[in-house]
Amino acid sequence: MNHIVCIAYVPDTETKIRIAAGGVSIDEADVKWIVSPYDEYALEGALQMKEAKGGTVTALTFGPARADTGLRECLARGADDAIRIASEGLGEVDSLGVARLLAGAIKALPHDVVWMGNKGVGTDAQVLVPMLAELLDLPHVNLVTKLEWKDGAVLAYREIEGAREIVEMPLPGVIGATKGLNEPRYASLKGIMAAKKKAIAVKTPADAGVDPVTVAGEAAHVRWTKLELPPARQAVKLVPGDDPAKAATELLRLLRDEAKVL
Amino acid sequence: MTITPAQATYFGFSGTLLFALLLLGALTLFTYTASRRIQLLTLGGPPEDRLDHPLARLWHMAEYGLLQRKMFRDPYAGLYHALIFSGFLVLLLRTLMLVFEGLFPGAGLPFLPTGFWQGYLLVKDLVLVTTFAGVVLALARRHVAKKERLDPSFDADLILLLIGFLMVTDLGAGAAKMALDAAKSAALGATPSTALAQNALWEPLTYSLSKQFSFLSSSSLQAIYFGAWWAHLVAIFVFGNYLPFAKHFHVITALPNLFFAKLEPAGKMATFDIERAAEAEKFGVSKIEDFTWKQKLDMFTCTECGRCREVCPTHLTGKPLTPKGFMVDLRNALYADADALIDADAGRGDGSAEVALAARRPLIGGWIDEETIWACTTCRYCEHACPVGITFVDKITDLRRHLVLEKSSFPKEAQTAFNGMERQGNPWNLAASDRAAWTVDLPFPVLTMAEAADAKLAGGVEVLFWVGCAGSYEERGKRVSRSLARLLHEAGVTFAILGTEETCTGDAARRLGNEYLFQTLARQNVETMKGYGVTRIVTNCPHCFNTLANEYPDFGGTFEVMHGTELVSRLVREGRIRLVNGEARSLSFHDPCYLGRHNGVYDAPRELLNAIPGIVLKELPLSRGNGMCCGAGGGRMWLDETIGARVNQARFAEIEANGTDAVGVSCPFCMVMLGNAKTELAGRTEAYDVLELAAQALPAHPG
Repeated sequence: MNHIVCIAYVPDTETKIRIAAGGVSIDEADVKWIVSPYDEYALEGALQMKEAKGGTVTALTFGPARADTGLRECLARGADDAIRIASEGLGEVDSLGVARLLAGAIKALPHDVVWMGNKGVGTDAQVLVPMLAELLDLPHVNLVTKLEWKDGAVLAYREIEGAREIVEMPLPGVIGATKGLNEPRYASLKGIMAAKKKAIAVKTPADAGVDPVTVAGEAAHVRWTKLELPPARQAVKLVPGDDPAKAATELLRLLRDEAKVL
Repeated sequence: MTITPAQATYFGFSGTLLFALLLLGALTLFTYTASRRIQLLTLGGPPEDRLDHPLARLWHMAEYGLLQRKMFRDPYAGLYHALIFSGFLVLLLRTLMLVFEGLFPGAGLPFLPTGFWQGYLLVKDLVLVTTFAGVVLALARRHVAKKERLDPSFDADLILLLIGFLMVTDLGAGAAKMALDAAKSAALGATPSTALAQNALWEPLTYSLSKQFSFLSSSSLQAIYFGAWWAHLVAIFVFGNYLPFAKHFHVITALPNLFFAKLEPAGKMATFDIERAAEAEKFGVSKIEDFTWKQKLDMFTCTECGRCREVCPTHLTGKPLTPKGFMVDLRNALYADADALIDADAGRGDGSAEVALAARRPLIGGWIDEETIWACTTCRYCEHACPVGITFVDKITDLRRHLVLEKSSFPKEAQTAFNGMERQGNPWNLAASDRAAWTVDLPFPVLTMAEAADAKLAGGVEVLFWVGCAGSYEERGKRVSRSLARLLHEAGVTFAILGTEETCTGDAARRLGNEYLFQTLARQNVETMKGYGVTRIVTNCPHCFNTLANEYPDFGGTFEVMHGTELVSRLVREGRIRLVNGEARSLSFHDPCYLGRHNGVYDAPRELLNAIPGIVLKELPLSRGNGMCCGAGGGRMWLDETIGARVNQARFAEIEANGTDAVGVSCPFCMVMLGNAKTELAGRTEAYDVLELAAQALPAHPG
C-alpha cells in the first residue's frame, strides 16, 4: 500500500508566542519548529502499516524552506520520500487553499491511504481532513484512535462524546489521526544518517496544478485581522480551610463578587 | 644421600623424562589456552590505546595490584587475600626451583649465592603455613560467616582446596625428605650433621613436621616424599591450566587489568566519531565481540567477589541489575561462543562458525535483559569498590547507545526528555525563552554574557555561572541558583550567565545512550562559550560540572570548572564572604555521585557546611566514596522506576535513621529525589542545598 502523510511544520507547543508588529502574525524569532504532534501519530500509523504490509510512505507538506527540516525528520523515522510544495512568495493561504495544494500534489501520486493529524497546532483550524477528502473525492474518517486493517477497507475507532464509534471505511481514503492511536517513534541515528542522503522534492503550486492566484491573498476565504494573547494568569487565591463552613462561605463570596462566575 | 623423585626410575622410565614430558604437556596446553584467550580478547571491537603514561600505569598497578589498597576496605578479606597473594608471589620462585630440580636433579640451585637460598627457604617455610591459613580463613568466610556478597561457588571451593593441597604437599614432601635424610644419617651412625642443624634453622616448620615423621620407616618416608613431590607438581600444572577457565583467571589478568586501567577522569564517557560510525552502520555494542579488548579483559578478570554490589542502588532495591551478575553474564556470553568467534575472525573453516554465530543467543535480550541495561544509575559505586579495576558504566552505556542510536528502543519516558533537550534545550521541555526567569526576584541584576560584553565591564567577567536546566526551571533549583548568585554578589565576584543562550549540557542524553543529541548540544555550548572567551565556569549541578570539566574538552572546550561549593568555600576561606547567621542544627550530608565518586570532590561541601554557624555535621554511614545514589543519575531522573523498591526511598530511609534535623545536598537531582522520598514516605528530614544554607547565613543587609 502507498501511504501519503501530510505534515504541518509548526511552532513547538512549548513556544512562548509573541505577536509580531502589525498584530496579525506571530513573531517567528527564536521559535523552535516541530512536526505537529498530531501529524506524528499519522506518520507513525503509516510507518507501522508499511512495516507490516509493505509499500511506501511519502511525507508531504506545504511550507517555506525551514519545513525541509520537518520532512527530513519524517525521512529519519522511516518515510521513503518527501515532497514540499514551496510557500515562498505566496502570501497568506487559508486552510482551503492548503487543502487544494495538497490535494493537487496527492493526485499525481499513487495513494491508498492519505494520513494527517486531526489538526496541526499552528492555526489549529481542524478542517483539513474533510476538505482534503472532498477535494480528492475520497471517504475520510477523523479523530482516529485505533485501526484494524481489512482487505480493501479499514475499521477505524473514534472517540466521540460519551461513546466510541467504529467506522468501516473503504480504501483509498483519508485518515485523521489523534492522540492515542500510537506512540510515535524516536528517529534512530541510523535513520537520521540515512535521511541525510535522501533528496527532498521541492515543487511549486503550479506543479500541484494550482494557480497561486486562486489560493493566496485576495482569493483566501479566511484572513486574520488581529491576534491577541490571552490575559496573563492571575495569582492563585488560597482560602484557608481550618473551618470548612467559613471557608465555603468565603469561597462562594469570592466566586460571586470577585470572579463574577456565579 | 637421598635421591630426588626425578632421579628415580618408574616402570623403567627415567623420572626426569617423565617430568619433562609432564612439563611440556602442561606448558603446551597453557600456551594453547592463553593464545585462544588472547585471540578472543583482540578480535572485534574498536581499537583502544592503553599504553600512554606508562609510569602512571605502573604506579596504579603497584598501588592497587601489589599493595592491594582496595582489598583492606574489608579487613578480613584483605587479610586472607594478602596471605594467599603473598604466598603466590613467594612460591612462584619455589615452583621454579622445583621445576629446575625436576629437569636437572641434583644439580644444585644456580645463579644466586647460598645465603640467598637459605633466606628464601626460611621465608618459603613461613609462607607455606600462612598461605594455608589464608585458605582456611577464606573457606570459613564462604561456609561459616557466609558474607552476602559471596555466592556459593564450586570454582571458589575447588581453587581454595587446590591451593591448600599445594601447601600440604610442598610441606609434606619437604618434611618427608628431611626425615628421610635424618634417618639415613642416623643409620650410618653419624652424629647429627651440620646440614640437619641448618634445616632446623632455615626451614623450622618443615623441620618440626619432619620430627613428627621420625617413627616412619625409610621406605614409607620415601613413598611420602615422592608421592607428595609429584602430587605437588601435578597440582601446580592442573592449577595453572584451570585458571583461564574459571573466575580465578584474575590471578593472571588482574595486574594487567590494573596496568591498562582508565587514567582519564572517571566520569568521562568515551566519545565516538559519529560520521565514522555511520559509515560502518554500527553504533554502540550489540554483540559481545563489539566491546574493546580492555572491556573484554575486564570480563576475564572479574573474580565474583561481589564488592561491587554491596552499595549498588539497583541491587539494594531488588532490580535485575547487579554489577557482578552483569559482568558474569557478559563473560558467559563471551565464552559461550569463543570458538566460533575465533574461527570466524580468523576466516578459517567451512563457514560453520558464521552459521553458529548467526544462530547464537543474542547479547541484548538473550544474555542481558533490556531492563537490566536501563536500571543502572551510573553512580559508579561498583567501580569504586572493584579491587581489580573493572569498569561497568562504560559497558552499560555502550549497550544503551546501540538501543537508542540503532534500534530506537528505550523506555518511552526518555523520549519526552530527548524531545525537550532537542527542542527547548532542557529535559523538562519548558520554554527555552524562560531559561533566565529565575533571576527576576533578585535585588541586583544578573548580567548575561551578551549584556556583559556590550557593557564592556572593567576587568571583564571573572566567572561564568553555568546555571543548568534544574537551576533554571525546577522550583527548588531556582532558589538554589538565587542562593549562589547572592553569594557571588556578596563576595564581589563579577559573574554572568549565558541566559537563553545556555542549553542543556547533554549529560542525561549521553548517559541514556543518545550520543548524537549529546554531541549536538555539546558542540553548540562549546561554540557559545568560546564566542565569549569563557575560561572559568562555576556550576552547582554536579552533572553539568562533570560534563563541562571532563567531557567538553573532546569538543574543543577546555575550561576551569568549579562546583559551587568549591568556589564558595574558597571565598569564605579568603574572607570575601562572612557567614554569620545560623541556627543550631544537626545535619547529614548526602554525597552526589557525580561530585564525589566521579570527581573526587568530597571536602568542599563539608568545608562550607562547617563554616556555617550552628551546623553540626553528622556523617551518614554510607558517605563519601561509599555514598549511596539517590537514583537519578544516568538519566534515571527521566525514567519511571517500576521494578523493586525505589532507590530514593531506600536512601532517604538511611538518612532518616541518621537522626539529624536536616540533610544537606549538593545536586539539584538529589534534591528532587530526596524531596520526593520525604513526601512519599511522609518523612521528617528536610533537604537543603549547601548553598541555600550558606546564603541563609549571610549577614542581613539593611534595605
